[in-house]
Amino acid sequence: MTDDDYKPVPRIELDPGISVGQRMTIGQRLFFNDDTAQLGQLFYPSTAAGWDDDSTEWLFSSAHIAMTTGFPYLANTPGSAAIVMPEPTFASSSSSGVMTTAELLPPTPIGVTGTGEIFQTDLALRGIRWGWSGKIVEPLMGDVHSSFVRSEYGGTESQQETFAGQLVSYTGENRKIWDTRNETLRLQVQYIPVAAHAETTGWQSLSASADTLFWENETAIAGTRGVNGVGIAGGDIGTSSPAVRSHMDQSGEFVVSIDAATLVSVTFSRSSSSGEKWIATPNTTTFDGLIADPYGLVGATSGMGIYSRIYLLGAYIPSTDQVPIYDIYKQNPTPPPDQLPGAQDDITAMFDAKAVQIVPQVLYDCLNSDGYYDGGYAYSGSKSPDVSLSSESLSWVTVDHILFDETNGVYVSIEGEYSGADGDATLTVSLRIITRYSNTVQVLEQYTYGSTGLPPEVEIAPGVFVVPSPKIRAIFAPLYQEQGSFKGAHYVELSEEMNGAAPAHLFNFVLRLMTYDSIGTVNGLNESEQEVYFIPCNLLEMLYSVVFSNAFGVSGVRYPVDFPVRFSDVMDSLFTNLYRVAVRDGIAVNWTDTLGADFAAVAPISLHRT
Amino acid sequence: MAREDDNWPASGNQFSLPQRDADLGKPQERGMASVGIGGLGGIRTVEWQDGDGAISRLRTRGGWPVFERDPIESESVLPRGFVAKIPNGRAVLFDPYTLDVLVTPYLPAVNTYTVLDFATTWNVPASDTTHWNDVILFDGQTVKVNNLAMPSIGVTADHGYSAIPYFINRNDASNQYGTEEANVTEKRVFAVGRDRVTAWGGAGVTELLEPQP
Repeated sequence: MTDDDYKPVPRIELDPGISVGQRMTIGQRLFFNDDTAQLGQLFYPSTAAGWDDDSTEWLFSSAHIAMTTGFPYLANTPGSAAIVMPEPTFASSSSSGVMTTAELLPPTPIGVTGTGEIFQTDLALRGIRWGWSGKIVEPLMGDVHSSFVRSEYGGTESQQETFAGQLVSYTGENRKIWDTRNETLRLQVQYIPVAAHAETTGWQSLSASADTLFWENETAIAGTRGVNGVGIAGGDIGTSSPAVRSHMDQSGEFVVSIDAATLVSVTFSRSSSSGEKWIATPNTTTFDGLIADPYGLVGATSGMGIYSRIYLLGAYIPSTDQVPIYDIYKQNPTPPPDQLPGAQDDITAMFDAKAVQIVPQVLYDCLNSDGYYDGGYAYSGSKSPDVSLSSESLSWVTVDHILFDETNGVYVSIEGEYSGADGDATLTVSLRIITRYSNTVQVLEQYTYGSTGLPPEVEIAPGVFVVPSPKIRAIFAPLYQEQGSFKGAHYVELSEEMNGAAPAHLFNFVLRLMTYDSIGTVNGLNESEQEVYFIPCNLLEMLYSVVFSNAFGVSGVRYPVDFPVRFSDVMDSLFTNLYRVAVRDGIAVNWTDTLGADFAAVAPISLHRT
Repeated sequence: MAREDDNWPASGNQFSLPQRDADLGKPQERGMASVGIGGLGGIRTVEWQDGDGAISRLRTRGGWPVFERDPIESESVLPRGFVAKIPNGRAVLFDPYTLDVLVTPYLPAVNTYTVLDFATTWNVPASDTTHWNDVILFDGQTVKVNNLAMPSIGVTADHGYSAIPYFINRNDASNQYGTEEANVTEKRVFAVGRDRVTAWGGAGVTELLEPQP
């Protein structure tokens, strides 16, 4: 998406008469290139009953202040940004056509494995063979080819806002289709890797100099031999007549991003289908005949079995008609015998050692060795008269910046990742530190839930039900945007490195996450207290939308708590615990301990430069 | 000789041939004479600290001006660099590359500083190899550069709220901070807080992030 694709929106100017109820300022940012500073604040108006008043919304204002040595010394350009992003409007349409969708098929035999044994031993000979002992069983990918007749409701939205000089872009898309499809099922053309050895040989020869035995063409012995993979050139599964099937598929994607990072990313899907369906049933007996006669193809000179045997031999030099291990190695100057004592023991030991190395190799073979690539053998197809399927997924990722030093590529952020699928979900909250040299992640808390998190469908037209679009609030509210006011980090800046300075990035602070309740006090706490207090706004939006409720923010209550146990669980841990953050040049370590015993005894060491 | 031809910056009724062991330039000499001591009568001395840290001095004796200049000390007086501080406890200056403690106890340890986008030799020993940029900070009401007060900036940081300093440099590698004379009228330091910015130019002005609570 380019900037030109974003919908132009009228600038939202704050009511000049508006006053602040409670507010949180963001970190000031300096611009050396034009001698300006950007200030900003997130607040709710004094007319609101509180931060969660359902009749109001968050507001954001900014001041772009130019500084000059001459009159007027300061010039203030106020600005503002909308917080609530527009929801896509559902529009109806209909269409028809053809489509192909991938389908993962059940595991099925596609080859055989073999186990080695020494079957022939002589003074200068070892024979090793592999008998079929198992099957290669892997899932294959299929393609459902369909012609369809479709009804669709969907829409997209986009918007850009400027938060204290930082351009924030939003896109949203929500779409649901109702299809009647005529489906057939085929195998995809595919290659299934099973091993990764370099080569498979059928013989190896032992040679010698006057005093040394050595293997010709010596290579490292892999753990496997035979084929490295199984090729499938497609194949029919069920094509005698199409299966007539109904589908409902919905997908949504909502992204709030800035140049340096994604702030919010929401993706979801919900699918259900019913009616006839082609079913792929694995042909489990495909290689039973081979298994029943494990050594039947040993010694084959082509096709399957060609990799099933190896001979270890003594080398032969035709030009001199010599067998080096007997005619060159440890020759007796006063025969008989022809060789010195111990020569045959050396030769035997070499053959035995090599055989012991080779016997454990696992043999892989398949019908490709016979030149057969069609995968029709893998499955049998049957058309079931009524199969109902459903699935759903939800991912909601958030990023909130404690430090957003874009000039120097140094970021400290709280990242929330909610991932749900088919009735289970996990929530992981992490702290990430990014510098120009490293990316360090510290997991703060993890939770699991027994539901995907999608909200109930809503009726958007008579008889038309869809998963609603989530309420997206785009909030860019970094607590700090440079190191000089942040007690938790100090580092060599990019311009210093360009001047020849060596890099150094040091972080140490104790973090306390706060909720919106602290919107009016968090700045003061950071001034007076030792810890770093931070409200992760985008994470809170996610929590109220899919963890504390399944309302997606569209129930009419801005911040509902429908699951009080989850709410208490998160509040009593993530928003109660103190988290020590200590990272030195990409390594998480309590590095301030080395500054002295008194430093090692406390965690909230503050960092500065002079 | 006509008085207007005397080539002396403080031309007036009094003929006073200046003596110099340093060429400060006529604007600075004129400023030191008129602003610093208000004339050349009597025995008086005025010192200005230049942008590079050197001290320029005007002494008068019976109306005879003598201009002198003390070059900056070549070694750092006050160490500067990376600082860690225990809450309500001691702070240390340490080497960020080795974590070796260099000075303890150490002050200041404040979060009211800005790493500037240029480097000078102000309070930087000649032996320094860090290539760090200058760091300007508010230490109370004192403006320091690389942990050494720079009175020639001519700003008392009396803004009264938590802020980081901003500095408009002269884009002159030989004199980024300006002379004390020039800085009398050109206030290059600004206080940038989270919801307001203060300039000391003119009578002083503060701009606010609106709306305010």
